[in-house]
Amino acid sequence: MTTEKYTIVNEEVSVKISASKLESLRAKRIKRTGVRLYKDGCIGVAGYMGEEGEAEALKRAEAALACKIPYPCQPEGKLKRSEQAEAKAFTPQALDAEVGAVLEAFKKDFPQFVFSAPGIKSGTATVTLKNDAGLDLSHTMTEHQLTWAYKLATSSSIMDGWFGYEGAAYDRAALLAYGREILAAHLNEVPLPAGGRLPVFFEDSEPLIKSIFVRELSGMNYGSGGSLFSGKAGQKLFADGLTLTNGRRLARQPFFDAEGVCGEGFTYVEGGVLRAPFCDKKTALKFGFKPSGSAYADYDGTPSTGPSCLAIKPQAKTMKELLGGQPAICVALASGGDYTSEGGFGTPAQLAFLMKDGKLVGRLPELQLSSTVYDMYGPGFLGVSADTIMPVTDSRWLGFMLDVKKT
Amino acid sequence: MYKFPQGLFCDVRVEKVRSTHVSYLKGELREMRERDTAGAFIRVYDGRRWYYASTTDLAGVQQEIDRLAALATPDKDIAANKTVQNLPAGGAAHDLFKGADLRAVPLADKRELLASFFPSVAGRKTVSMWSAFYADNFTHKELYNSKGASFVSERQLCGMRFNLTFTENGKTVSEGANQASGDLAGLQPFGAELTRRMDQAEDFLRNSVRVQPGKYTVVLSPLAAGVFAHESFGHKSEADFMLGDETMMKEWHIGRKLGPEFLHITDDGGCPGSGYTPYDDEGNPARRTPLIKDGKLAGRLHSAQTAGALAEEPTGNARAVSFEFEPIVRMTTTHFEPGNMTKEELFAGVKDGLFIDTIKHGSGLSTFTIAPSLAYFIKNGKLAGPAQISVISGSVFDTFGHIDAVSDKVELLSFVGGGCGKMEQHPLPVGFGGPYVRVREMSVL
Repeated sequence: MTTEKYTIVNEEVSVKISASKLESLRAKRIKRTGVRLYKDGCIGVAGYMGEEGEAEALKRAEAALACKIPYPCQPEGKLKRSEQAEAKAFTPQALDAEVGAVLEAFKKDFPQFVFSAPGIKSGTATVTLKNDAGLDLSHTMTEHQLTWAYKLATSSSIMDGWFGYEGAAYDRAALLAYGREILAAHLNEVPLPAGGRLPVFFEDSEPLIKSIFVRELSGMNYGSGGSLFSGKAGQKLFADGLTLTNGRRLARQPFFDAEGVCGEGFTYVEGGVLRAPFCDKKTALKFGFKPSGSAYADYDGTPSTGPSCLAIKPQAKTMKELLGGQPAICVALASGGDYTSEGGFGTPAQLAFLMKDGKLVGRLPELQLSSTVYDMYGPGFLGVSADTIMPVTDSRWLGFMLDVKKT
Repeated sequence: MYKFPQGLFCDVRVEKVRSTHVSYLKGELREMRERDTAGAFIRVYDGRRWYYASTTDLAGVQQEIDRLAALATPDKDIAANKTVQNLPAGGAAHDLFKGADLRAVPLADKRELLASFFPSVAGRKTVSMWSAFYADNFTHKELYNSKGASFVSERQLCGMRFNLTFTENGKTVSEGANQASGDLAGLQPFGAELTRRMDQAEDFLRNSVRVQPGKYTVVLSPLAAGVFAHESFGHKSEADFMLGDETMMKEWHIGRKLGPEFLHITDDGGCPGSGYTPYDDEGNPARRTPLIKDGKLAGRLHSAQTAGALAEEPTGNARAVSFEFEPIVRMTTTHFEPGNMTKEELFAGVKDGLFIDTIKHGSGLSTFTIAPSLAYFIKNGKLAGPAQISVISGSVFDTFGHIDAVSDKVELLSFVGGGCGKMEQHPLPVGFGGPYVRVREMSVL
């Protein structure tokens, strides 16, 4: 029998802004621990919160073995690796002061806007996975989540737009410059360029755009024949420039998944050719796939294939080079869209900007965007820019030729 | 119980939750657990700022109160503060759960109930992938505040969901079936619902055709209408979006005409089901709040703070998704009220349109969106084959003005395993539903 402990500690401070005023300051530290027992091809799991409870959890995990949840894989072992964050999170008082200073700067430069932020956060997450087979993995990540919502004082909408980023680094000047570019562009209404089929860019971290792969490359769905891509491994389905991999770092996840598999860089699509689905160890064993480092588990749950961390490999060209002097649409907010069962794509773009020469220059009207998965990731695929959207983030621009209409 | 600081408002919300989860993937058991959690959320308010902490160390709550109080600036007149005046005072109230307690039901019985529906799924050749889960939740909340109030409330919800992928001749369709109830007896009819959805999904798989993007008359099922009310209007009724916003206040003034006279939308925390909220997370009691009445804006959803800021009454809508978060203004059960014609009359009035039966998700900002799952063409008042739609969308003002029929019977719906998202707090259990609603000129992609 192998005994394993999976611990997640989240420490976080957050500041809320409402109607351009600091409203609240919140701090928390929550520790969750799961105890897993692997025995005779089954797994038993139980968990607890806080510092006390391991002995009791061990008893409950032992009792849970009687449920006979199959787990025919060997737990990972004989690997010790640790990564620690270099950056530090803000203290509550420091975050409060910093957010206050940035808020005053934006209010001074753009008195036309009202600012809000449901939670500007700074914190540390520590995830560890250890067992008596020699596995000892630990990852501590610092993350700042700075999302600012804004609206014109004359607007009757809940919000008109947002800007911000998530990342380990912080630079006030970079944040102010980025926010100022977006706010200035928002004040300048511009018409939609003519054409119908236009270059449209999203942040490459935008979940909507890659959701088709989340749905169709999930190992169980793919292996069972229920995926659009089932049975098509080895076929060239997409553009030469599309290489899709496990991007745990880009998604600010630990370097190991919930089973201890280190899957950074595992390739799903390479040069447009479909290679493999993403899956946990159990699904991999069932269908003869390789585990891709995509297992997820609640702290007290059984590992299974989780939401993947999909990253598209950047092109060699910067955004300016990709555009080649042409204007482009940059989408800031596309909420509510989806893919049909056959891969048709449609979404409103509630907020989009016109980009020229690498700068956001004006706000476009609300748009309707449509395409299909084989077009937008095929002949319509423009790729991911080599440069990041702003200095302190890892996010880049991801572009497609899409059918664009005014709403 | 707690020593509250002078010159400040303080409350402590303790949540103890027993949750159960049993899940299967293609007939293989994946998860079977009971989880007990306990935590507290502490708030201190000095009239200018809120200071919050959450902890699993229930013995350390007093320390958190004292630590937060040290950050705040006491105000000797805090009792006169408009927000504080809207928070409950003095006395104890209980709303204890009285039905069949699911904590007493063995986990194996719940697993057996879930598995009893498997044969009908496993027997379908078109089902290439499926997952199923059972979940239940017993929540015990205690609230204590510095005005001397104390509350205990309990609620219970259980439910099942099947997610199914159908595959045939290279095509796939995904669809789900679910049911929620306050107890296991309420889940017994699930078999019929599951069979109905599987029949519909197979028809969709074999016969669906992509819709041409454009403007259509759309009929929304009670489920779709409920999501429509929630996303298009419900979030705009949450008064925290209006704080300090004179433009929004003028735009959304009480009495403003939004739609026809037979249009009524209500939020009601007393409705049984996933939105049941007898007391909100500030201790204010549930209310039935008309949001639209006779086609006109009639009310808003409030916390103590928003009610104070807008000089209105609290409505019992301050809710937090768990002990880790502060209460913010949220919906409970939001639905259209019965309307002006029968369902048959409503459909008969559509020459060329679409019917949205089930949905994948929805969202609401300046524009609301709904991503349909099972949808159908309507020709001359009759369903005319399944239709593939990516998304329907519209602005609130325009769309409400285009509602021209609402049927006369309401179905309220509850769910497990999902809920409403607002900022960082998701998923919050809510209920929704309504009658059938007909809307002209909706954008369809």
